[in-house]
Amino acid sequence: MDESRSIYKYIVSLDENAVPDLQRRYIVNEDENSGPPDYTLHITNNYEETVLSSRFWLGEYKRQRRLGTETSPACDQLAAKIEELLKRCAKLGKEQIMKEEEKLEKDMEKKLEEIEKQKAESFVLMPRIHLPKRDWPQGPFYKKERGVAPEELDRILKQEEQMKKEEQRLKKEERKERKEKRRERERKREEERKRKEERQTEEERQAEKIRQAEKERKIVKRARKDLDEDEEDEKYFRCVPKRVIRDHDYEAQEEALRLERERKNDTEVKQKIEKEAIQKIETKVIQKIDTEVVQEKDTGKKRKKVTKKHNTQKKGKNWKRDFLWLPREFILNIIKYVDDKSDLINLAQSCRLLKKCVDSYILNNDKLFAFEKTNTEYEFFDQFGHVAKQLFVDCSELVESDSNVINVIAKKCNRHLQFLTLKNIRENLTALDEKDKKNVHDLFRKLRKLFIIDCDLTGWSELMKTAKLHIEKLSLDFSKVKVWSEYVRNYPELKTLHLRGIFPSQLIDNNKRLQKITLINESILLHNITVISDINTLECLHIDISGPRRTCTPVKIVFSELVKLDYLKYLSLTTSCFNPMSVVPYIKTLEALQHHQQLRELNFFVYHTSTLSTVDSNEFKANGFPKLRRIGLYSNFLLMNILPQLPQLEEIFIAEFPGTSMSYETFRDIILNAPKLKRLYFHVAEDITTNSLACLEEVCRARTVKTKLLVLVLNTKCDVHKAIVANKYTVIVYSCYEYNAKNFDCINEVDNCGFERGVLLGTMETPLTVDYHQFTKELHALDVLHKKY
Amino acid sequence: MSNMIYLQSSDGDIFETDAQIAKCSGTIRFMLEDCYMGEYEGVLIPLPNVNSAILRKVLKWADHHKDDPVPIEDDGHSVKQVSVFSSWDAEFLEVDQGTLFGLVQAANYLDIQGLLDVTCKTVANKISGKTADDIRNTLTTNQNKFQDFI
Repeated sequence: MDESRSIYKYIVSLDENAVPDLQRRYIVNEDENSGPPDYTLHITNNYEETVLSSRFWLGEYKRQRRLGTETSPACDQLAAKIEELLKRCAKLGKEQIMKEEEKLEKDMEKKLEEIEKQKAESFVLMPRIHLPKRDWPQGPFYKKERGVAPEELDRILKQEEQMKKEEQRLKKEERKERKEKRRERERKREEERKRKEERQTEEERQAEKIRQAEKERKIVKRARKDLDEDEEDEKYFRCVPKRVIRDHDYEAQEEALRLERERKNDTEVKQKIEKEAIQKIETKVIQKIDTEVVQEKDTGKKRKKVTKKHNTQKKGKNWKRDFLWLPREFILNIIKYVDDKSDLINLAQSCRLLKKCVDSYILNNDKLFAFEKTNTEYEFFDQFGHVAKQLFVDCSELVESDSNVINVIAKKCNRHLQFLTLKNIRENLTALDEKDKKNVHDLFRKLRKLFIIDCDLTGWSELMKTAKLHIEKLSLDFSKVKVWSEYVRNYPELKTLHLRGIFPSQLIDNNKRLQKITLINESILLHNITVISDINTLECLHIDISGPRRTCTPVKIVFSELVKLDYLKYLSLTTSCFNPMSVVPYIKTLEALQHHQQLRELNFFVYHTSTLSTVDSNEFKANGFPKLRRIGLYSNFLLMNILPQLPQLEEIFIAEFPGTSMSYETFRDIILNAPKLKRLYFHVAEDITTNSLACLEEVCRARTVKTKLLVLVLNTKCDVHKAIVANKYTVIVYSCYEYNAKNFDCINEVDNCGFERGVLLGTMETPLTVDYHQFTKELHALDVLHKKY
Repeated sequence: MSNMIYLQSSDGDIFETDAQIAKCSGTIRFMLEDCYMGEYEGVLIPLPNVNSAILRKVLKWADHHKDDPVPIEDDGHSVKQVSVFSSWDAEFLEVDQGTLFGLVQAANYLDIQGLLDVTCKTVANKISGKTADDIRNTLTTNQNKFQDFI
């Protein structure tokens, strides 16, 4: 307050003539009338108003300064002073308020204390007053003047209690009322909700009824659509239903239609003849006009005329060759059934559009043969080599030793070729010139699979050195492969290795990313298997040591190493050895592998059954081979022992037909008790008996197993064929490797049995020496047996 | 109990047939089992790519082969069928080339593998041994008829 007063005093002192009751103006802006009232500092005799005005004035002063307005020095001085004073005032104001509050509190406390003291004195002192009874005036102020009597106090207290009770009662009543109201509200809400629900269910019921009615109407409409002529249907379908044919006598209908068509044909033929005649006249007229126009333009330039004529002819010819309106799907379907290659060539030549279809078909499906003995094959290669994806080159029949086969292939098949098989190539690549060498390198660089069978690879080392090949599968045969083993490290993509008759451990040593190895070998050494067991990526291993040398002694230690291969999914072990000692390690291997977590397919073709009979079937515990789905066994004895322990099996290949080492009943029981079995493959040899066949039929009838018979045709006719065919089993017939005239006849006989369903004929090696993994895969595709016989 | 269904050809004729017979067609089987969820008594299936003459032949073939066992599918691979087929089929396919081509297309559209096999093989046999010009003439002369049938 004092500070505010000091501001007031200060402002007033600015003018000597200032008097409290005089209103003075200090104008910030020189133009007096331009600004609003806030521009002026009002100095009145009321200091609070003056201070308030000074605050506004200071704010305005600052704003004007910010805007860049020039102010008088008196104003500046005044502003500085007012600001300082206001700040001090604000600071002091707070302290003042706090002090006042404290003071008030203290006063209050004092007052309360005094009141308390007074009360205490009045109550406490009362019992001490024992005045003699006098005739004091008995008025209403008597007790008041002397303090509160105890009776009165009791009454007051009672009253208070009653008041309290009354209050409580009222509160209770209030609470009760509130509760009741709430209940009432809830009840109403509930009723409302129920009413709503009822309304909704009613609506839903109605809607459901409508839907049902609509559905029924649709069903009725659909059923009667054939009889009613509906306009909407007319728009939707191509035409209005003419008639409903309920009569299933298709023969009579066809006859009637044929007669009708004949009648129509007569008119059609007439129209056609007329049309052709008109067309002929038109073309003649057009040709004549063309010739005249050319002659008029340049009579001297005969050459131009000739050229024009030639072009027209060529264009016409192309048009004729190209235009053949047939759906592509139709042609592609037909091509699949054209077996003869010369027919396929003719089909392709008949029309350019057809050639495109044939090209695409060859590219995707067919395996091309080149340089074989027949002319058709060569012609076929010549026609379609440029689109070939896979090529089989067999130079066994070529007389000239220095034939330029590789170069021809490199030039012809440089676009799409991915799979190349070379057989009996005896070509020295060093003789090629630079351009041809580049072509060959380009060809090999694009290959994904390369099969080399009995080739002389002298002079190929340069190709191996310089070309970075991307071969995924390499198949090598016999001994002339050292050059490949040296450079195999150049093939990081190599995943499949197929070796026959050789085992260059260096080849495997240099590539630890292999996924599949096939070894068809006469002798496998311990070291080799150790090398294999180091390839952690290996998923598929096929080892066949059923060759003539039968050196099986090291095998004893060998196969226990295979357990190390964590990713092994497929394993095939085949031996034809007759040394009983060699069987035991196989059994031990089987025992070791039964807890392998990844193994899905196991082919186990071990011949010597008498030794196997010593094996304790308890060794094969239940739940062994947790992921095994397919098994191939030679011995029925093993089948008998292992199969009941493997309920998860889906496919079984049995090489030994029942009746030899197992009774039909046992066989039948085993098969019928395999819960998940889907496919059965049999290798039926010539010694199949009628009883065996009856057993097989029983099994096939009893189950829904898709049974397949692999009929191995040997040197004698096999009477089972007709019986099998009569039962409509899918039969796959193939002859043994060295077929002769007799089994050729046998195949023909099977072929002519007149059955309508799937028979494929072909030649193949004896089943027990083939790569079964590949074989069964190809069986599914059913194209592997499509070879000549 | 037989379920009768109706098949409508491109030219409007409606054929009443047993659903079991019609189911030899993969296309119709799919429609009946998936679109009508198995309740297909009296349904009408429009077949806009097959005319009545061809549809009649197809139904005749299907009726004859209704008791044939279902062919085994080998992991999705189509089976290239045998070159020899029954005498009934041979007689059935003694038709003009336009009809034969129409049957190929219908078998392909309706997804009837058995019919496709025999018809395609028959066409392939007809082409067999002919020169390029002969094949072109054969296909060209039947072109117009072929168009009529699809």
